[in-house]
Amino acid sequence: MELTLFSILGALALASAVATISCRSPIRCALSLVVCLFSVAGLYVLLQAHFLAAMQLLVYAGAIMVLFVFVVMLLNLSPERVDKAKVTFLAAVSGLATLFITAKVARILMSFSPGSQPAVPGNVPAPDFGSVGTVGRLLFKQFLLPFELVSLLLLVAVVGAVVIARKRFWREGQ
Amino acid sequence: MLTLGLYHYVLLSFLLLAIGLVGVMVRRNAIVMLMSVELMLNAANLAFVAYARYRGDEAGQVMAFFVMALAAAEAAVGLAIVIAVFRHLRTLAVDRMTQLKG
Repeated sequence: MELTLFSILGALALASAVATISCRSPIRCALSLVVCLFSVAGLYVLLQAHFLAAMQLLVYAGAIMVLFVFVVMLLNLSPERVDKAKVTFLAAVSGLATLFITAKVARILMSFSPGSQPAVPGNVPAPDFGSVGTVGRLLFKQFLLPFELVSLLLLVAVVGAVVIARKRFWREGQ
Repeated sequence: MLTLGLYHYVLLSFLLLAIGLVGVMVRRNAIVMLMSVELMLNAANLAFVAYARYRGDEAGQVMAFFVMALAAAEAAVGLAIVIAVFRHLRTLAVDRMTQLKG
């Protein structure tokens, strides 16, 4: 059951990732990316990370993707004009390189015996593993300082985004 | 019967990372390149969460949470830069962005 779900979600994630980088129109890229993010959220649920799955949907599929789609609409982008021969060449080379490296990595991973895989005792996590409570406790005790720094980072990003995207910022120098 | 293990997730996350990397290298549209970066960050997150699950340690999930916040900040600033550049050059092709001077 778990393996079936993993195969479906994994295949969906891979297919939509390929669609994200191969579609010519930016809006199609954005929508494929949403599908990819949703399937990764499904994988998080399989991995008992329920809180993170919810965050993935809210932050990624909600906030970030809305931002992307908004900018694509705002700029009214037309599909990219591409130099076919160049793109085919680049895609072939990068595809071959990816396949080669993937084969290498897969061989390294397979060379470990299954018994050496790190696993929780009995391979069954605690019932509250990955719940809001346990993750939140970790976040506000052990990782309190990084957590506060992240809030500072987000503030800086918000101010920076407003300043950069403002119209006058580019006119002042002239 | 094959049992689902950590290495399946690691391999999948590696593949997603590779696809994102190919996207950054091949595509010439600034927005699509940003999306590919999001894809790569997502792949890293998947590896974090997989290791958290199979080691029974939730610190990996906390790290993934931080990466998400970082990705949000990166997307906000990156898209602001994209808008500013588009206003200036009327294009998003990174090949055309050859000058630092505005």
